[in-house]
Amino acid sequence: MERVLARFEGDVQLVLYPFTLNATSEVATQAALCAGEQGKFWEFHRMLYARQEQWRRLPNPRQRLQEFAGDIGVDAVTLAGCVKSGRMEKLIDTDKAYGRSLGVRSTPTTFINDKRIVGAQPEGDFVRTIRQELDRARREAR
Amino acid sequence: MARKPMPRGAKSRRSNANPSPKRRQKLVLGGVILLLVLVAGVAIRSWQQRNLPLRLQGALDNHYSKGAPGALVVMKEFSDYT
Repeated sequence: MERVLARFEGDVQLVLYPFTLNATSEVATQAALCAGEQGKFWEFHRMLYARQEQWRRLPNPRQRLQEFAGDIGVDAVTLAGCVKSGRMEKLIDTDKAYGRSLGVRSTPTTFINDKRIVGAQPEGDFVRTIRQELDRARREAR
Repeated sequence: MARKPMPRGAKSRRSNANPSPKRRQKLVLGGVILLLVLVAGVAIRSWQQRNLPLRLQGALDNHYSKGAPGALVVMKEFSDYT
């Protein structure tokens, strides 16, 4: 997605909405948001995907994610306290409800303006849809 | 035979159990008005949401984003990490 963004620099904005599907992803998402409080959301976000096979099958990945935290400069103790507090749960629940209201049932689901793309489709599909939406938006702006 | 005195409150209970036609009319009218207001509220909200471009719906605040704020195209990605 970052490649797609770079291609359309200035014309496209990407906004992330967590849509957790299980308890494991719930913990991971809370940890990412908590890392954000230390200014390290994007690093943690990338790390979760890069090391996905090392934590995603664990019933409770909390400990493993704390171990990873230090690798990217996140204070593990602060992270653990934040996750334990549960204060990110409300944001996650709100975003999930929002996603459901838009008919999201699986991940990833991406809306490019109001065009829906379900699943990890080829990059070309995203590029094509973005171009169509840009053309439409520019026509409407005239 | 002397009549049994009516239990206390029986008179008021009886009048509440059988509201006068006028009172019944008012209750029904009130209920209908309330229902109409609720239905109208739901309908207006749905209409507003249907006419808003998707990119303007929902909160963009408090969400991590990349790229140009206020861009012509907004990609909303719903994902989990597993």
